[in-house]
Amino acid sequence: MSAFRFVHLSDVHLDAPFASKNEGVRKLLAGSLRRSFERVVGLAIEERVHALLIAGDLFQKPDPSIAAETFLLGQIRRLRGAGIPVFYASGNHDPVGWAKGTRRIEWPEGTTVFADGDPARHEVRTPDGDLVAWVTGAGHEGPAVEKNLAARFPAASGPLPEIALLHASVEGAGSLEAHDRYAPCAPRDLRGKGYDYWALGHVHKRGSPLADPPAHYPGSLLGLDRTETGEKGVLLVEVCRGAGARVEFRPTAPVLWEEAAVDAAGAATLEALRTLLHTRIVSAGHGEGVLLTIELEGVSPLKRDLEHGEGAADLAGDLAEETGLAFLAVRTGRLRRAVDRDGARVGPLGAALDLIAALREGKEPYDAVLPELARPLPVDAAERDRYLRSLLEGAEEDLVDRMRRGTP
Amino acid sequence: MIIRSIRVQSYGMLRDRVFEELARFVVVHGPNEAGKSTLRRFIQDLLFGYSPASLEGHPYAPRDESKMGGEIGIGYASGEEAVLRRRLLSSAVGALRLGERRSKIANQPVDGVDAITRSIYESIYSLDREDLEFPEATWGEVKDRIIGTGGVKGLRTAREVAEELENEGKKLWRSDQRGKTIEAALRERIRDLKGEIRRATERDSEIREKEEALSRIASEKEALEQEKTGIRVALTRAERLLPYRKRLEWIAENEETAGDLSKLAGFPEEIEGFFRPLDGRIESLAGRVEQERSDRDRFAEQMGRFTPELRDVLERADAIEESVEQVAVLRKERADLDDLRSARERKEGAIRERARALIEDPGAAFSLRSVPAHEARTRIHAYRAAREERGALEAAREAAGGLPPPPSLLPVLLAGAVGLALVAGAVLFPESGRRPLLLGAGGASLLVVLLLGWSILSARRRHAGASLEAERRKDAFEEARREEEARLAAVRDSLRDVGLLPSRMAEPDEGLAEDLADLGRALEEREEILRRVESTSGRIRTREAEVLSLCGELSLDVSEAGEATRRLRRVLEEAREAERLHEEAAKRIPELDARLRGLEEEIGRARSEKESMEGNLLALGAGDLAACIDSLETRREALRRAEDERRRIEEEGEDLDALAAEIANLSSTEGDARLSDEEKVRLEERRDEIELRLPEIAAASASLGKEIELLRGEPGASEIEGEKKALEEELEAVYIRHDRLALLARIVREADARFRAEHEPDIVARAGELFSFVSGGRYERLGLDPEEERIELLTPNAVEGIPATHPVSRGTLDQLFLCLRLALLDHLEAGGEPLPLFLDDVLYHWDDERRERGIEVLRRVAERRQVFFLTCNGALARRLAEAGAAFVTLPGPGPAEPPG
Repeated sequence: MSAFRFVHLSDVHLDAPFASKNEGVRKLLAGSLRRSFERVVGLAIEERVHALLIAGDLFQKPDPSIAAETFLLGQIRRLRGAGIPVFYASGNHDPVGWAKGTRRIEWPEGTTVFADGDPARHEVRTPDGDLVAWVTGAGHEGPAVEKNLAARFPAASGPLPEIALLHASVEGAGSLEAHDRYAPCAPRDLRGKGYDYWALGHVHKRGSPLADPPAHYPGSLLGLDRTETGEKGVLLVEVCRGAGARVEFRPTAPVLWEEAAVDAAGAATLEALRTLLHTRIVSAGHGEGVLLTIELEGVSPLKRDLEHGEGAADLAGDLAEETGLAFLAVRTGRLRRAVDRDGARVGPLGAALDLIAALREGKEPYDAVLPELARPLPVDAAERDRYLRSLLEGAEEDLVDRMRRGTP
Repeated sequence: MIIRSIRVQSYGMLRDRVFEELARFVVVHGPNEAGKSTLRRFIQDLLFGYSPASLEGHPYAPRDESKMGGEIGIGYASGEEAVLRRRLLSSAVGALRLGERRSKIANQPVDGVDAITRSIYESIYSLDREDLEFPEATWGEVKDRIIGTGGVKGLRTAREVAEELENEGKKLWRSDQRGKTIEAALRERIRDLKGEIRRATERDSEIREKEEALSRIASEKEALEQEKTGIRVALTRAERLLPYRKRLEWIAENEETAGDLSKLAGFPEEIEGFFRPLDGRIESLAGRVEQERSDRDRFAEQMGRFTPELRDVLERADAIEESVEQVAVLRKERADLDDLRSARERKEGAIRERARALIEDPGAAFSLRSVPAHEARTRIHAYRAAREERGALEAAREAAGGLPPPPSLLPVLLAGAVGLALVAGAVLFPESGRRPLLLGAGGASLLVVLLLGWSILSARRRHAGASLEAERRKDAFEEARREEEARLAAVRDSLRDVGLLPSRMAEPDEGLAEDLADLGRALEEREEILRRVESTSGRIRTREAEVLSLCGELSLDVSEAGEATRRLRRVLEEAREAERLHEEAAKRIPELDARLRGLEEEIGRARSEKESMEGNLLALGAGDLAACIDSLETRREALRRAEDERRRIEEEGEDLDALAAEIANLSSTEGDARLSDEEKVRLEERRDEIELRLPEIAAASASLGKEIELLRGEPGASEIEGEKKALEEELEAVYIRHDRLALLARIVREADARFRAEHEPDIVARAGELFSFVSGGRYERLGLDPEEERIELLTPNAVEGIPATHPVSRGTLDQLFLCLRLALLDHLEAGGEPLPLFLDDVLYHWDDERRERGIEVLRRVAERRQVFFLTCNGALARRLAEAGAAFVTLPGPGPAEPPG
């Protein structure tokens, strides 16, 4: 029985806004996203796959820029030149046909776009005209599809490999909580329909919500922000009808986000901290192509220095230059001040600390101390309390530090 | 709590110092660097534990070998007495003896001081000159210093912290939108970015429009260039092709005059001479045909000579050649046969010669079928062996001869008798004087008897053995003789049929065996010769019969084999020659036939050509042949003119066919290559328009391309969106930071207010009570004016308080401030253990009035808590001593003002 080989990718997010004040980082990420896509196309050509399947969110928005459109069509033409057809099912970010969306793109021959919520079935042929598989796909018709699209997929019973292509939130998928639940469905919706492989998109972290039949999220093509850590790329899939799928991850992203937590308690000076972080970065093997976020932890006398002005940013800039990192951010949110609480238990400061404890424990209402806030508080009481409690994180250390500031 | 005694073992500059029976009010007097502050620090270390708790880091660690440590005696308010001892070695150790109880407290604070921290103690209970200086500030600030910090030195007031928080918050965000807050800056930047995003989106649309416009322009440019090319081609062709058209027309006229001369192309320029060589050629070809036909007839005749009989001979060629070869063999075999017959005769002579030495009738030898030579040789050998054995036995018997008679025993018997006689004489005559002689002689005789007897017996045994051997030899001889006879009989028996001479049979020997063998071999060789003679004769006869038979089959009348062979060889040679000639003819005849056909065809073509040319010439219709020849020359001249013109055009670099095609095309599309003036003008105007338009288009295209390039160089919406997103995240963080700062500020203010509400009245009341005492009742109490944030001095029966500020004297204000500070101690302790108070170099720079009032306050305070007053001022020390303070002197390196 002949095998159907294809590249499965999703969540490319062309035109994605990479949130950074650093223009260099924004340009690096935007360029890396295109480079990653170029590598995908190169991989498909090199591996001589039968097809390229895109499971939604190809674009960040329904109306892509001309630059993104020009780039994409150029890449699809490369695939076309190699005789590789493209199957693309739209996602919540790029609902084809919605508003003035991607419908006006003149897709090159050999591109099949699944734009409707009702699944359609298309054949996959080799350049010689041999029929090798069937792809059934459905697309998002709007930016917030709440219908269960997977449930609409018809049963597949042909003798050739049958692939389902869909942008959906499958219940139980890892890190699903980080995403809006569009086109929600359950694993039972994927079972028993005779598909050999469910090519999914939407979840940016690579994973498989279902083993039988195999259903995979390849994850985003590039970490879109610092939370999307690790290697990013595509899945190279080989499917035989009724014989399971061989799935292989192939990294394509030229840069990747990484996170590291570092206990800064041992560093008494900024120079010592710089040395500590340098050692950690080098020993972890991070270098060019890594955008690293270091979360400082522990009690440190340096918190004030780091948070004053551009202290942390300057340190990060120096370290990035020394270690060759593409980008480094040093975060101090979890760093605690080294404060001497002696003397903090008397007077108004002691009273303030007691009041903070009482507020946190709900023994005192916030109303008594509610200042004029920058924005209206949430209407929901629980949400309101949660917000106010969050403001009190580290308040004791801050107050003691402020009260004792200048103490020899 | 009161410190009753102090024992310093080693602490900084203090060594082995003991201070005992310390009162509640102690003045420690000594010059600068005498160790007053060291003593205060020693007491604090004893009470709270060493800080730091290591010798390396402690500023008062001894630099010599002495042990750092000491002890103090403590009296508690409860009446209990304790001794506290501490040492700082490799670690801090401490021991407390409270009554009879002893306990280790390591570096922990001692009971009674553990309610507060050391830092608070050092801040509140250890006051120096600055701490007691009435601040040049508002009463709100005064209260802040005392109450807003809890009296802890070095702490910023709650109000200061709250203001700092609020100010920081306002830098981030202000509800009144005043000033340049970070939030406002961010919002402004975000607003700008939104505008940039909008413009980027518009740019995107603009790029699309410009791309489309560029595409349209490119299409227009392509179309115009095509049109321009068309016009240029039309004009160029019209101008260029006109002269050529005339010349081509002239060529065409001449070609028309010439007409189709292709059929007459073979005519030479001199037409009349054309036919002579043609006739000569026909004649030559006819001669060649005749010759070829003659050759063919000759070869046909050769073919006829190869008759069926000769074919039959060739078919039997192998048999004939074999027969010829057999005749040669036959000749050799006949010679061999003659040799064999001679050999037979020689062999028979030799047999007769051998037979005469063996057989009685030598002629009978040829009748013998075989001679048992081998068997006879075997038996003769057996006979000769038996005969030799018998001879050997016989010779052995003769050599042994007859046996002598055995030796006699008689001498022995005689000697024995003599010996016995001599012995008997001796026995019988014992008295004889010859007895020894007799005995000796008798003994010797017996000895001889014994020796002789042994010798004779041995000889007789040997004789008996020899007799037995002679008997055995005789038997063996007899046996051998019988065997010899039997073997001889066997030899004779084997040769009975041969009929040997009796003399050769008497004693058969090896020579007989050899002769028999020779005879046998000669007979066998003769037999072999006879067989070969017979065989050879038979083969010769067979072969001769075969040769003759073959001759008969070929109808050759011969009766002798030799003649037959010669005839067969000759016939075969004739047949082969005939066949070769036949084959040659068979090969040559088709060739000749083909050549004949070719020649005949060539003759036919030449005749046809001649007839055709004549026909073509006549077909010119000019009349007879001569007239037609004239006409042809005229037409040929016209054709030459046309060709010359063509050549000239080609020499000008033009392709005549292309020119003709162009002209034909122009004629078909434009109607006529010769454009009318109007048409030409119209085309030229259009061309000019296009030429004007094209640079415009190129400029527009370049401009558009540049614009697009510039637009593409601008940041895209997504990139700006990225910055906006980052700023929005920052804005969100700013809001949160602001809200946090604002909340903390409110909390600090609320806590401060609550603290003040809770503690301020009590502190002011306690201070008022103290102040009333030290003012001698002039002021009854203190009052608070919350609106004015001030303290008022209230006299007895006063309706209104006196604001505690100028013009109240500075001494009174200092006194009031001291009361407030000390009241804070009482308030904080609030029923707890009153801890010792240290005052370091205070009061001495106050004027007399202020100093006296201060001393009064201290004296009053010392009633409730122990006061250590540290000073280098001798007069002040004396005054304090007069006021009841116990005196402790610390001699130091510098001179101290004597206490008097």
